[in-house]
This record gives sequence, structure tokens and C-alpha cells, in this order.
Amino acid sequence: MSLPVLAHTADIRTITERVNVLIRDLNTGRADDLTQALADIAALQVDVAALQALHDDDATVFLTSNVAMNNTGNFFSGPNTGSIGAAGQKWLITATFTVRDTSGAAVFTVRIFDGASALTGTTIASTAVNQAVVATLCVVVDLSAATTFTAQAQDGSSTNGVILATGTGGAGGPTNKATSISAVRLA
Amino acid sequence: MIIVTDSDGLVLMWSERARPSAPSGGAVIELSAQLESEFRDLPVGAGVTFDGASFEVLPEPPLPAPDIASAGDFVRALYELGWLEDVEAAVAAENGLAEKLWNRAAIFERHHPMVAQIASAIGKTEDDLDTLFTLAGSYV
Repeated sequence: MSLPVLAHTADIRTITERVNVLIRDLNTGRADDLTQALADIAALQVDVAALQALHDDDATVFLTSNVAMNNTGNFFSGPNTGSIGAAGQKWLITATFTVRDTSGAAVFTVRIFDGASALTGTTIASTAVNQAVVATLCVVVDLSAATTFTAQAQDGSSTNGVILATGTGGAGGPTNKATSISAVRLA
Repeated sequence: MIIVTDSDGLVLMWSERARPSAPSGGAVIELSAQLESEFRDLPVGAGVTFDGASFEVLPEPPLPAPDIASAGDFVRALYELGWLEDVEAAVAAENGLAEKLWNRAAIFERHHPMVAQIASAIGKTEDDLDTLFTLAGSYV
């Protein structure tokens, strides 16, 4: 009996069901070919190892110190992923920004930057002084080489913008988790 | 846990598993269990520094006074500070343009020359103006 190889994206339940089928076939004598069954199990082990490798590549990086945006013409860097991936890989990159302006209402531009260009971005606006606003971006990328992705923001309204490490207002937020970038390998 | 510092020891970012890139002169540091525990318990601040042995939380700087206030918030702040009557008298004593602007303005700018002129006329300082605009900006 030959079973198709599981996809790298197979979840734990799918893997468990596959193992159970193999065990049941062996126990009931329905396996046509014990050698083939063992080969299927070996292939399964390879897939599990690949899944584990994908899992180990998932990570989030959080901002720890506030970043002053003191030039309306510049983008300022928040957290980065470090150099990740390789040619032929597909990754999901997400970034969350918490920003505010301490002098008035402001318009901010946020983006995910790969060192050469913005992969995605948008503008968000605060309507009052010191009002923190939040944006989340996500993009799927096919890599041609190892790449460092950086969460960047710009305050186009004044030189008093801040990228916040911790949310403010109300009961506040978890310490040093207001601005982040995450990378998840898809394939 | 990994932290990334700049050349001055300012902790820029942290991650449980990733290895973010450090800027020129900075460092990527893997924390010991003890330091990781200390890092997780840090209070909120404007930032964190790390000298290789311990962390220091940077206090939040006082927020600068807003540059702008809506007319409603501006008048309310003047009233609460007890300056409203003096301002109205000073505006009335100025040329006609000041009074027209006072009556029609939707916003007041902290650094507008006419604001400085009226403030000076009623004996208020730059610090007083900061107090006024900070109070006006608090009405959110």
C-alpha cells in the first residue's frame, strides 16, 4: 500500500490520522507490502521534521524603547526580523505599529521595508494630541535571497512623533508589546 | 530571549526566538535566565538600557505642550485659568483684525504671533502659554 506524501503544511491531526491508518493496516494484515508501509512511515518522519523546521522559523520581534520620529521627511525603523529565509521560500510578514504625536493631530505613514522597497504600507491619522493610533500590515513574499524585514514609520505632520514600545491610555498595555514584526514561513 | 542594543546600550528590541539585526555598533545579546526574568518584570518607561549586567528603565519625558487648540478648548482653558476676561479686554484693545480673528477662529496656534502678542499684553510668559495649551489639550 502506498500513501501520498503529506504536504509540509499538514497539521498535527492530519499526521496523527495518517499514522493511525498505517498502524491499523499493519495490525489487520491489510498492508499489501510491509516494506512500502515502512517507507511511508519514513516519508512521514521527513515531513514531520520539515514541519518542525518551519515552526522553528516563526518568530516575533518587539520594540523595547520608544523611537522618536523627529524629521517629517524620514522613515524611522522599529523592530526587524533579522536576516531570514532563502531563495524559493514563501513567508508571511506582519507588523503592528502603535504611534502618537505629542504636539497635535497627525498623519503617519507605516510600512514593511525589505531594505530596498516598501512591501506594503498605509497611512493612519490621530485626531488629537497624544492620541495613540494603531495599524497592522501583512504581506506574503516569495524570497529570492535571505532578507531582513523592518517595521518603519514616518510622522509627516510634526517632529514630535513617537513609535511606542508600550501602549498608553486607559489601563495601558503589556510592557514592550505595542509595536512588533512577525515572520512566519509558509513554504 | 534575545535583545538588540545600539552602540549606547539602548535596548531597541527583543524576541523570544528570532535573531533581529543590530545597527552598526550595536549588539545582539542572548540573556541568561536571571536577566530574562529581570527583563520581563521591568516597569513601563520610554526605553530600557542594558550595561551588560543590569537594566535601567528610562523615565517618560514630560510631554511638550500642544501646538494647537480648538477654539472651544482654548476658551475653556482661559476661563478655568481665570484669564478669559483679561484676554477679551486685550483683544478689544488691539486693532480690529485681532478681534475679528478672536471671534471667528476655529483653532488657536501656540506659536502664532497674535497669540504671543495678546499673551504679552496681559503679562503672560512662554511657560504660561505652555500651561494654557497643555490644559486645552487635555480636554479629549
